[in-house]
Amino acid sequence: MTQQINLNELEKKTYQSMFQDGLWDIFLGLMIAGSALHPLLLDIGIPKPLNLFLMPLLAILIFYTGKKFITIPRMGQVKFGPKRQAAQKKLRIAVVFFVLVTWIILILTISRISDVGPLEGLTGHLFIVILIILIITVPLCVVAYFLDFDRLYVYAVLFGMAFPLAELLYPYVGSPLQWVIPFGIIGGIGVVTGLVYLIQFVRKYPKINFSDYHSQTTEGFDEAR
Amino acid sequence: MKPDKDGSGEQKPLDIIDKLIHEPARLLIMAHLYVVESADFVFLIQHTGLTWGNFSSHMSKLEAAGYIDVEKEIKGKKPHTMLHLTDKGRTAFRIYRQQMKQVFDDLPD
Repeated sequence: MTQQINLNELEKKTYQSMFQDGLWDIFLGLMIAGSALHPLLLDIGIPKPLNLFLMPLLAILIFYTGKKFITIPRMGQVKFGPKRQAAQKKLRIAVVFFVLVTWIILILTISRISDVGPLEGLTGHLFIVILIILIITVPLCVVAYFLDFDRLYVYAVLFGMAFPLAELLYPYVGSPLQWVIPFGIIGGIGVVTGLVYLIQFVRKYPKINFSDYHSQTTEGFDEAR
Repeated sequence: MKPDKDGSGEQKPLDIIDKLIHEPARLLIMAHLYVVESADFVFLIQHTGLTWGNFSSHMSKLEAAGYIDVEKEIKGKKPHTMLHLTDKGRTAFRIYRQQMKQVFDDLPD
């Protein structure tokens, strides 16, 4: 009862509490790691094409079951106001825009490579860095802005850095380790960060048995009138 | 301004403050519901830090005043209750903010 009431801060704090459970971090971490770990999964006996989809499926499964069985019973449910709904609408438009831009960039890149061959040397590396910034870092930063999810800016930069890092690692470790090392480390950072947040969240918000709680609340609510 | 109860002239600024909202626990509940469209019991209890008993009694007062509406729905065979500010509640909270600002603005340095 000692907290100050600043309505803008309160709205922001309330909204950002959605990211306190760390499930977004775990989801992103598994998606990032999964984008490069599929050769290793193939090596340990997971067949094609399951090796490609296993990590993304795992990420989606953990995210939804976590929200359903960990977050909602502890945090409850909320619908945000018109400001956030408008931001989500803008986010959907931005995502569609970036998907289109990514497709255009990929088609132009592939057609250029097939015409004149891949760029090599410094120009080639610079081209890759610019391309990755355009199709990964910038869209993720835009998503972070509309979601008001500050940690996503860090993941956007780290994810973007993984590609040039992979290029730099190639002469030393070859393929597929050039991909596995940077993406595995960055994905691992996401998963570990998410787990830390999840543990803090579980400690901070004790579980409430939703059905018992509801009957208690409605009964108590009626009695209190 | 309305005449004061003691008939001594104008009503004092603090007298016009909505006492129902001014109570700290109810102010917290109203403030949280003001910044969202609707929220359930669990969300409000976790965010306000109130106990169930405390929360329930304040909620009933706010509902009785017509500031809060309780929506009951069935989600996946389980009952679920969402709360939201009524138009009257939203207006009352807005007026309360303006009046509190006015009270502090009028204080001498």
